[in-house]
Amino acid sequence: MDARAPDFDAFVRARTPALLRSAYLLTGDQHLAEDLVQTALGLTHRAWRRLRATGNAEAYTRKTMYHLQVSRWRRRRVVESFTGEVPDGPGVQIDHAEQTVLRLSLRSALSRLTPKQRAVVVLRFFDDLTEAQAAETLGVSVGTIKSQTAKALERLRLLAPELNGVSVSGDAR
Amino acid sequence: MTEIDNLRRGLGEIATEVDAVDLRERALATSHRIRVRRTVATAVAGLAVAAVALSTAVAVGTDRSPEPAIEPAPSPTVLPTERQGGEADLGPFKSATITVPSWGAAADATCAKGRVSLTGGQYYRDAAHRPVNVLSYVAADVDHDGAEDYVAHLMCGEGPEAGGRQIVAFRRDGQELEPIGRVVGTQDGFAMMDHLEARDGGRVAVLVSREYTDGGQNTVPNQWRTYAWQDGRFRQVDGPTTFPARPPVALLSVVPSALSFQRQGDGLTGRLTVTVRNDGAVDVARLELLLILPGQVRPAGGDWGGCATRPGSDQTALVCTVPGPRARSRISVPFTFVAAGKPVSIDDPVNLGNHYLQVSQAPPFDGQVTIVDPEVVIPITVP
Repeated sequence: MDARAPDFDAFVRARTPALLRSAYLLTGDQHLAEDLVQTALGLTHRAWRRLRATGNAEAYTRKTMYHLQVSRWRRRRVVESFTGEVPDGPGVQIDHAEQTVLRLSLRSALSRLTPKQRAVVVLRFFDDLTEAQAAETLGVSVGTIKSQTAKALERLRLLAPELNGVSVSGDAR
Repeated sequence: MTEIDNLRRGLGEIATEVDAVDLRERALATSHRIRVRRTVATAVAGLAVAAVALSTAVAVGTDRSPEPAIEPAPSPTVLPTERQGGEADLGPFKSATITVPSWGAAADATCAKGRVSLTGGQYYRDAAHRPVNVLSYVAADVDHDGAEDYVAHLMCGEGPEAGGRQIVAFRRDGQELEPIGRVVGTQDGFAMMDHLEARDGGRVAVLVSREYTDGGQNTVPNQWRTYAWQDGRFRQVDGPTTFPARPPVALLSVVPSALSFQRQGDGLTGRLTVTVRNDGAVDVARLELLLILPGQVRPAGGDWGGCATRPGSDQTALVCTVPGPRARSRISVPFTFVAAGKPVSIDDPVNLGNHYLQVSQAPPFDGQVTIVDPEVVIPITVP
């Protein structure tokens, strides 16, 4: 039995759902998201003793995941996109029509960002990292995060104009 | 609710679509595969070291001294710090009033034209319209009136969604820049024209491509075509006029040797050779090699011309610009390192670990360059 197993098991159980959510936003596909998190967790396992000592496991796994996604795209030059169907996940309220349009539009728009732009959007606006934290995660400068964010938002405005026009549920009714 | 609030809300809703899955067993299987792969790589590198040691022993044979002198490890070589790119110098286009010519009938309707004011090289009207960006410029007297003109690369919008691009020559008219004429643009059937140069006689050379890519114009078929202002319009005066059905391409593959450290004096010394082979039909003038190595590893010796330290990394990050391989040939670049302590390599894949090599083409570009695998692991062995 691997001595690192119990701690690692607990880490996987606790953090996999959150990692999968970020990975899904990065890849747009359930299976690709699973592959991404699986690989990142595998690498985390290899470095587990060191990471456990520093208490830095989740940051390492996330960093690994983002780097893998950006570099995988660069090597393969494949365009991945969200599937056409929109499943209603647990906990999702029945959407107001505008919210459904926004979700559809945003899914499509995300798939048309460059991998780095998509990574920056997820880091900044889903993982809620600061610019400095996002820069650290991607291994780039804060200036790059700023410029990639600006470019990503510009493209999202074009591709998903609904972002600027959705009513707040309850307020606009 | 702001658009950022909507973005956060939309991302949160999309993220709930993913199904929860137990990945423990799959993660452990991945970990096992990585361990096996690394063990094999280390063994192969070890065999290579043994083979080199054996062949060296055979080669020196009878010449070997009974008690070889122990040479001290070489001192680390101090390299300059790489200059960071920063923003492009847009000269007169950084802040100016210009008249933007038509983007052509097929361009996006939201592309601005006519008289606009640039701030920071950009004209931004509102969210419903694509901004006009000035990406670069060159100075040349294109109309031979004795006054310097400015040739700018204009783009409507950004990236793959750009509504149009055009290279336009301007002359100064008081405080404003008035167009002399369009050199070339998307309305002429080109998707990219990211590089332009001023040539003698007021001519302008443009690297043109029919295909768009986010990966850099050098990664798709491209040609330099030269234009001159003649009889009231720009005409092509040099370079090919058509793209062949199968344009020639440079095909690069990169193989680093193992970085094998040996004890020398109080420290460790290692040597690495990077070989780049060009199996294609296009010469490559220059390459940029980015070496990422554990923080304990430092450059040493005299093989570091054209190299600099890239700042902002916890690891050792070294950037070298080297002559590229001509068509159907190869280059080999040797590097020497020292390490005060035992280098610790992390079991990470390409682009994340602290021991890999990244190769890219450095300007000047001239023809399509394909790099089979631009990021490869540098195996490290230590005694």
